[in-house]
Amino acid sequence: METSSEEIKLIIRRAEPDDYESLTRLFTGPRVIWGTLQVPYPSAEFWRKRLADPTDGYYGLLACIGNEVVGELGLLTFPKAPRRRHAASLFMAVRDDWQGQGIGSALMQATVDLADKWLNLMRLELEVYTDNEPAIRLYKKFGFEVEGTLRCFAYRDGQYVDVYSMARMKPAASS
Amino acid sequence: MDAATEKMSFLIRRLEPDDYQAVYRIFSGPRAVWGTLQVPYPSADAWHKRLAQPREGSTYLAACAGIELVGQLGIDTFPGHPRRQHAAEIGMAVMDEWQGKGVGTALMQAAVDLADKWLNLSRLELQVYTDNEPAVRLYKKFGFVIEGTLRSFAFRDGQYVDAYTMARINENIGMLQP
Repeated sequence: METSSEEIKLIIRRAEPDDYESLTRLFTGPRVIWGTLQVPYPSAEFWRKRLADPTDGYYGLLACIGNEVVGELGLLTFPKAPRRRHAASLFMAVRDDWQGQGIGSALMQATVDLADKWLNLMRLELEVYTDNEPAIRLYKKFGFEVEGTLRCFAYRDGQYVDVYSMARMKPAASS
Repeated sequence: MDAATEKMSFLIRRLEPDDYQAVYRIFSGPRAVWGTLQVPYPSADAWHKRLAQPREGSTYLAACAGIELVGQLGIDTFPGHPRRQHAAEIGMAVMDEWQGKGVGTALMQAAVDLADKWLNLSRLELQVYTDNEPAVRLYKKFGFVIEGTLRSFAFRDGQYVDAYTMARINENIGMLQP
């Protein structure tokens, strides 16, 4: 009897308005809430509106395995601010049950490729809780450096917590 | 003989939609443009529209010398982000010819009083170009501390320049007490 192992095919695609239910599900996970600025008990209506009418300059990417949305990354550019047009900020979340399996890396790779090769961005910025070690390791792997520590930045699980402000400058073209 | 330095006092009030001409004048000044994210040749009409639709959760203050509006400061909270409701971002600009005369101090004093005593904000944050020494001094005077340096944060006068990210934490505010 042949046992064939099904290759897990991870696809990165753009988030569409109809993805709001999958995103609501992603944001029910306690680890996702812990690592972001979202609050428990996410509202499907909130995500429906957010996806139906995204901010100008927003690129939502999803990591999908089969029909399941297992991760998301939002890249926010600043089309209305010419003096910040070279920069973008990003935030991401991997579904609780898919963390630690390379989803974050896949999303980050797609994002830096998009930023470097198509969106002509020089500077990517993000914030991450100082105790979110796996996330910090991921960002450092993609060239992000800590630029500062923002104290009592957000409220999380009953206390104010610090974040690192990190940024990645586009690498100089290698000749 | 006493060489008394006359200390100017400025009236602080809420910025109103009708103030758009004065705000346009502030941002017509090259120094105001240099110190912020504004671009040259501001549009009075754009400021008219912007002030007519104030951003939710924001408070805008005006500093007046007599009847002339000479500076403005915005306190932007983060509505829709309950986990950031203790925080706000500050941005300000003083008319070029009124810089160095205490307008910034008057605006900052009003802003921190409002934050501490009425808006219940324990964290105020801002960005300032690393070479904008008078502004950095002003913010430090009001308890802001440099938390980091954002490299090539913005484009200014032909090059990318760094900005400090600074914040003032008020630990006395109820929210920060266990």
